[in-house]
Amino acid sequence: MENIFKFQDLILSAPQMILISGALLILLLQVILPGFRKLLAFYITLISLFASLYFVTFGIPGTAFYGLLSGNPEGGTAFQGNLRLNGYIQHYSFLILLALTIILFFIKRVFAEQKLELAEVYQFLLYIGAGSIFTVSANDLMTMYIGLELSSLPFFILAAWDRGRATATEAAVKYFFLSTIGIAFMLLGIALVYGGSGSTMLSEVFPVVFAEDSFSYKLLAAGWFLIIGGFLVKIAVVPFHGWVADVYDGAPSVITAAMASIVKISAVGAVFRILQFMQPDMHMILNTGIIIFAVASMVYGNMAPLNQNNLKRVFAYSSIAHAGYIITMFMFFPESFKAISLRTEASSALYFYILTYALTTILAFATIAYLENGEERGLTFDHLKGLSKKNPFAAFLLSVSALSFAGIPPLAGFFGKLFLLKVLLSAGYYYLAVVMIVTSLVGVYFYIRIVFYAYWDFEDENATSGMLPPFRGIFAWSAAIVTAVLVLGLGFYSESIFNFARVASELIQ
Amino acid sequence: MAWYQTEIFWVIVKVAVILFVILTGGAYYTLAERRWAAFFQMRLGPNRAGFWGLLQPLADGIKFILKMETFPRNADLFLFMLAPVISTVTSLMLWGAIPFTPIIELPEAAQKITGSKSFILQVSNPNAGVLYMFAVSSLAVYGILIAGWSSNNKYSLLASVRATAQMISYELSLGLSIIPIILMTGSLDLYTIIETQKNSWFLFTLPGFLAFWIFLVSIFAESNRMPFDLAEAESELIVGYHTEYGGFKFAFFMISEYMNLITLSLLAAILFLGGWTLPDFISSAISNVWLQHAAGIGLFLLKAFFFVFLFVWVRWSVPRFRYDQLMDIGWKVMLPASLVIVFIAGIYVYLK
Amino acid sequence: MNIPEILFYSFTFILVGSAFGVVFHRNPVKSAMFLVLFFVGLAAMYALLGAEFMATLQVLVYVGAIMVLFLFVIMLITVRDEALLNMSSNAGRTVIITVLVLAFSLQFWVLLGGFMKAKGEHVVNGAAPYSTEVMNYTTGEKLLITGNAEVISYALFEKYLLPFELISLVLLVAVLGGILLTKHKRETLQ
Repeated sequence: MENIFKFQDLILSAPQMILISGALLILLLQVILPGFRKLLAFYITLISLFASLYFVTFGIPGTAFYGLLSGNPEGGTAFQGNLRLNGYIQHYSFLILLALTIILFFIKRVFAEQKLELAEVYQFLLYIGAGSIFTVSANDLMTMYIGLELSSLPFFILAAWDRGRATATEAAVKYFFLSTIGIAFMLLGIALVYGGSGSTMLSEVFPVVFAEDSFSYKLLAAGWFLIIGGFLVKIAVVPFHGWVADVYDGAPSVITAAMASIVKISAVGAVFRILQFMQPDMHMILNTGIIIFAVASMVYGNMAPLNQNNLKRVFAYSSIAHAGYIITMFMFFPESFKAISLRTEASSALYFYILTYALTTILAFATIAYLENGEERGLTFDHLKGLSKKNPFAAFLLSVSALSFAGIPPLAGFFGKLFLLKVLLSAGYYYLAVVMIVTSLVGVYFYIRIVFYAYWDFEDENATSGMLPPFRGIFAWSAAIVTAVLVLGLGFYSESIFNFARVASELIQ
Repeated sequence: MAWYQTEIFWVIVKVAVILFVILTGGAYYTLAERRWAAFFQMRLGPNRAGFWGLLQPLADGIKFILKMETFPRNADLFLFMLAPVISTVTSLMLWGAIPFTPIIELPEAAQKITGSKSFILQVSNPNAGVLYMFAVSSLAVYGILIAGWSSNNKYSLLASVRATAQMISYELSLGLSIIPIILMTGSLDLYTIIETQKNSWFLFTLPGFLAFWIFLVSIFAESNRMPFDLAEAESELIVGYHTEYGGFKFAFFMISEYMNLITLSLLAAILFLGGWTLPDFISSAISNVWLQHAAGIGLFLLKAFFFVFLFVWVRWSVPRFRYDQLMDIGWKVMLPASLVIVFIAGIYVYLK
Repeated sequence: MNIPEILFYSFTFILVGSAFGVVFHRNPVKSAMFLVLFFVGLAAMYALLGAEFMATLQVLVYVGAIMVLFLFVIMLITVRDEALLNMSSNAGRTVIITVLVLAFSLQFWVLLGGFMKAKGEHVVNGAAPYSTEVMNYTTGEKLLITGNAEVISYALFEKYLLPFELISLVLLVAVLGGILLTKHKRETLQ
């Protein structure tokens, strides 16, 4: 007797299932245990995250589920082909889990200090993790869509977590509406793809080649661009960027850190999985669109913060610029792209870039979360005056993230940009490389400004900086130190990480 | 093919027959209710118009038509007129899917005239008959909601909000109480559901028996009848959402309410009491096919009539709930209970 | 033109018209009523395609439950059209309407032309729309399933089992979020 539901499926989706069961365990214990404490929820979350991280890294011996370190090029599918497991997906799962773990440490302390800590926060974090991994590992567009919903819905709630502030509610509502519209267009795209091909399964839809003048081809093309458009809303590149500043500014800063890192990681991973199966001859249109979007994002993202005094907004705009750098790599994703080696290069460069970007973003927003401590209406440059004396650790963290964003050589951000540039240049997109260099040079101004304000001796430094609290909490300390060390040190190991990611990119199928 | 042999002609005939039956049925239900109410209260009730007051509905109808049309000031006229129409249309639409008779093999002579081999008094047979009934009856909420809002009257609005909140809450347990039957039948088709009960009614199976009580309470709440008629609590809300309605617009609400009651009675008879099926030991005792059909249909109507009477019986015997009690019962008792029953039904079907 | 086609066009007209009504009517209650009309029209479209089960579910879920709650809220906060600000000038509205109508009719005709040409074109699965072949797991034999509810249930519980189960999680998150964000004293929530 065969069964629809196999144990094998559970093993192949082990990380997601661990996260989901952790979340449900928290939910159940809250009901059952009368003296349920938040600390227990925190530890359950921590254990589930570490368990999934362990499995993603080392695999489950004796099963088809293999980890990052135990190379097995075969992979597998689960749940009637709804899920795919391969090295590439494991890499992105690892990234998501890593970012989530670091954010968990920050959230623990920050929310406890701001009296916002509830067991549900941890539950939502676990849902975010599971949804993001489902998004990346989906082999069916429907699963991808539901995974995306599962990972974005908690963000809408967490963005409004600090309900006392009007800006938080505003951020939640804006984020909700705009990303719902994005997802709605994506859903329309899925419907069109189904109409064109009769299937929603990635491995069934995309290998089929249609004649260019056939109606199916047109439907497929339209559906496809809508799907990618939906993801671009999540990644926040320029024509879809309207929400970024307000949402990133309004949401609690630790949540912003999660938003800016995890959403982008999962969206990029999923886009790669979609794009690799693109119909031949379609990537010319795609390339044109992506070049326009990328250039616009780079210019806008680096110009807009020049006049900005609000620290969170500066980083929000800079995340648009970084989204612009990220999407340049999308051009090399389609399988029909002739130079297969270039595709691998692009994929691994992107992986390294998004790794450094996620860590740096988390570091930046988490530090801001500490400094503002929920009391103030936004942290401005004036608040940074004299930071190096009041709180040298925070000043150091902020400077590290700013310099890494700016791309100052020994830091990880520099190597990330370097790899992207290398790929662009070897593909012959010289003008794009030039735009990238020039705009990031412009961006250096406001990144350096942060470092300058934090370390320069101001005459009136006591005027505004008295309210900054010291950096506290063992978890947050350790997370901050680990992240900072990673941002500082990843650059020196860039080649090995790059090669490591390259292996994964060859396993993408 | 002659014009009277086309399918569409017979559909129109069926529609005409059913419309006639339900409209008079609804009208006479009002009379029956008043007579029975009088009986419960040891009065005489309407007995002047015709023998036993049988012409009373006609007299009421004439009076409704001849009344002056009044509209409240500041009312939204379009929606104000639309509300009774929605109420009536939805309760009429429900009757299209009810199979009043089994499929009857026609004799030779009748086949020649009608041009079809069999006959069933059912206007159309949708793919998912039960769901169709629920979908359409859920539309009835709009009649009430719009009536309350467009009257531009606080009491009407309050009553309509009460009524709709109640209907939505109890629709859940009503829908869930059907699921055991769907599980046991394996079909959403009303005809199949009836036929499955040929030798044992669903009332006499364990999950069916449990679900029946949920169903019974829910239909009382769903139709805003007495123990749950918070929407018409005279002491609080005048007469409810149709306070501002007079004349024939009011008659529309009135008759649609009674037609809904009849529909729910028929539905109860279909879902739990076996509809027009006859158990084998009875049908083998009756030799004539036509007598069998007549007995089956007669029994079906009798079962439905029992529920029709039950509505009135309960109305004059049970006091009204408070609104919070009503909501508590709906969400804290009925809903969990019906979920448990669904679970029991799953086990029951699995073990069978 | 045969009857289904006539029905299709008239329902299209109703759908597009009511969608415009939703967006442009100044009275929120009537806007919501247009949305109700839109959903009913959509259900009719489903029925026209032979998906009766979807049609009934559409009415049952969207019209019967969700839109009622919408109307509830709108009615209870009593936003009359006077309360709404004059958001755009008449000229602006006209321009927007014209552009939208043009865009939609263009898209409509493009799609329609495509469908006319696409009749009989190859699709990946090549299966008939409302039948599917499934395996009976207890006996191991293959069955051809027809009928709406059966096909949908087999799709949901076999092929799309994972997304179907994940939806329950999404709903759980939504419920939790709704409770948490509307509850007043959050410290008591523990």
